[in-house]
Amino acid sequence: MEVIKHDIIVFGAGATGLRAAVEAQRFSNNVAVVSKVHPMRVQSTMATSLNAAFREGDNWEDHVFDTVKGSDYMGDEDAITYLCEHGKEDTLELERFSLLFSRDPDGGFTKKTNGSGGQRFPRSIFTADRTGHTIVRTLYGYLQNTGVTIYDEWYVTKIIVEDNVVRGLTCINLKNGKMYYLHARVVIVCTGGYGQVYYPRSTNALSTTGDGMALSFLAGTRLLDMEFVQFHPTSLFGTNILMSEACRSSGAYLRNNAGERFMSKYAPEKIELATRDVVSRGIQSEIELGNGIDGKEYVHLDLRHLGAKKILHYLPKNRELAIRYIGRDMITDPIPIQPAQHYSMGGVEVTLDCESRVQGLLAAGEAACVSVQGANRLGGNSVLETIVFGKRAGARAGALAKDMSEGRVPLEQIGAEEARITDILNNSNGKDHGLAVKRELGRVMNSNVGVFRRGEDIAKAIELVRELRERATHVAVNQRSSLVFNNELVDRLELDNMTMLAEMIATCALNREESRGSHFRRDFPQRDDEKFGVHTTITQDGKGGFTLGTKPVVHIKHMPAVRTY
Amino acid sequence: MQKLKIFRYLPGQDPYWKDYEVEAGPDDMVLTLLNRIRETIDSTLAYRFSCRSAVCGSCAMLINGKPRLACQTRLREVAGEVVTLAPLTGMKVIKDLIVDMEPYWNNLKRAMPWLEEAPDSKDAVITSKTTDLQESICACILCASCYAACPETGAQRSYLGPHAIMEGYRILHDPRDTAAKKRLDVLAGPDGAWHCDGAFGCIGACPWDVSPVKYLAKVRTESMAVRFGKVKLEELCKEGGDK
Repeated sequence: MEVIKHDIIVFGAGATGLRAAVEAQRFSNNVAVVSKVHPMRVQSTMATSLNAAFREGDNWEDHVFDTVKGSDYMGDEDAITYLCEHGKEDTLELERFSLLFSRDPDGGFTKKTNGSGGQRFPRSIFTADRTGHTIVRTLYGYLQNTGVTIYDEWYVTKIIVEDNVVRGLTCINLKNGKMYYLHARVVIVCTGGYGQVYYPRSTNALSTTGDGMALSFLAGTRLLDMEFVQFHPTSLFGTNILMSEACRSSGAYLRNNAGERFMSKYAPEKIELATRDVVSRGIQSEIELGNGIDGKEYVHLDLRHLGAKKILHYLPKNRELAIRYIGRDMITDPIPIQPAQHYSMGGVEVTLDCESRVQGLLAAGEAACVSVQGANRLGGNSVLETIVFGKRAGARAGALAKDMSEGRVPLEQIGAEEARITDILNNSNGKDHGLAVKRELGRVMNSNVGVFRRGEDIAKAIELVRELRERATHVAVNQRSSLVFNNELVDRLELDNMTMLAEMIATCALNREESRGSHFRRDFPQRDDEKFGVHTTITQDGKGGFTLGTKPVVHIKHMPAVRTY
Repeated sequence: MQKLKIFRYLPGQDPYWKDYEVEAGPDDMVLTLLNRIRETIDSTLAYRFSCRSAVCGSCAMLINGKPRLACQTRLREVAGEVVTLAPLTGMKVIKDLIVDMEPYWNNLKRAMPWLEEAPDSKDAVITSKTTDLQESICACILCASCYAACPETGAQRSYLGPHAIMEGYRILHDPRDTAAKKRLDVLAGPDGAWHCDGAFGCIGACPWDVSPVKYLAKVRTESMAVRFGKVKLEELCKEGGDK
């Protein structure tokens, strides 16, 4: 396998990865980005806005409190403080990369909505409703004028580590079907979440399969808080395409089959503007009580009272998506919606400098757990995290790469990995198509480890997922002549990652015998700070299983308190 | 059930058409059918996909001969007895429905999609005039549908393509940018907007109705206005441009 050497390799080309690369190349002239999709095709392109306390009358300390409370006191306040304090500066700095946030005719930043769920101030800043796309596009454009190499459509099969020091990545270049080893002093994992573990009931892109998170775990890092899975309240019934939080913050109502604004039962003060975990539970409860529309698994997102003018001005893309994907115009029709998996709060445990427990292996963004999102993320805080911690990870990687010498190329491990891939290619002769196993995995996770959870269901899920982990190892790879865009092989490798992550999610969920943020146990409906006011850690036990542990949550000013909206 | 005729190609072998018959309803998207084929019939079929909501630009292909996004094309919009699926034209096929996008991305790079700022640019006043232009152009998701529909692009040709010229035009009109001359030389140069021969394929092909040809026309008229001394380049660019 050909060896290519770099100082710093960014694994993942979303907003976090590109921001990290931009920063890293200020320190090193030998930086590369590797991603299984082209940077313009990433999950981040779907984001609609980000948060920062940049307006007059707002301040970042308030943003800290809203985020701490939103996280159900599971986010680490030191990390949240860093996020919010640097939010304004790092966000506005994006304009140096050609992006411009939407302005009014007088030059002020356009204000669109009320504060989104769980926020006391309107903090969203955006470029129309294409913020994610524009951030990715302008960072990608900026990188074109630097020496950063982008290996797009390269699938990473393994993170190679020796004596707990990262060495590099083995990859398949899907375009020419050859395998390569990318050697590095520092690797930054920015591969986002694992949404497709909940296929098809996830708002995430089909490529969001948690590869970097899983490979980091296998490389020897510790993962954190895997039980906290965000379900977004408003995804289109039938396709689970996201109706963004801008709908609710613009004043949308949620109605059940009797036409009631049922959220007043669950969040008397904020009603529809409560946080995502609270609203998703409200909707799911109504569905389970038989109050879904026509008894089905959805309720209505009703925007008709806003009027055509407001909808066209504030929510053009949401309106367009609902028309295109379910044939409903929100100006005249209520929109059928249901909760769907949306975000992974847990991930690779990292320090404030984005360093994992493996030397030279960093992680940032959704793939990491630093932890700013805790048990529930606020809308708009994810893009902020990508920018703030992407930058910090890039800078840290730059500093580390200067200090670290180039490690040896671990030829034995590379050879073994090549042999493993060849073996899969030649010997995977099962009948299951990879996508069929992904659907089965999603069914198991959605029915047993979803918005509401019960110990016995989770235990059942663990059994079923273990069977699927085994089934995944012999899915059909019929096309053996070439690795060029061999999606049977890619499905198989993704399934290895997805089924392992699913087992971790369920294992951590079973262990947390309380309800907090997105994790709601019907058999333990109360929050239990005394016993469970700690992060869950998960590591390999050396025998193919997991070891769970705990880690204290950092509280500085805001001690755990009753959380209502 | 729906019959599909899909272009298949494996490097080093002869291309061929393969017929499939797959369970389908009139409201199913073409991408849903492709996924269904891969899940239940033939997992070797290769195509690009990611967001499934017309934002990431992965799944542009020829559907009954026209460039469209598979993820937002409903069967009933294209249904006939047989729906044909083929790779985009103007680029080399790598495998099945996947084309080599390298020239497309290289052309974007040739249009210099980065800002060259002046040290005092922080003082530049940005208003909705500039951001409206940016937003109109960034509605383009870089899916290459227009590139495939354009008779002037192609593997052996040097034309930048509508996507690259639009992106260059966006930054040309950023009041903070200092590289206007260089940019106009590229955008209205030998590989630039004058290549457009008015086939207008890009208008019909764009999934978000961005209308690339509008910006090609602007590049032409603005470059002529500058050449004939009707307007100073610096002033033109300070203006922020019209969307």
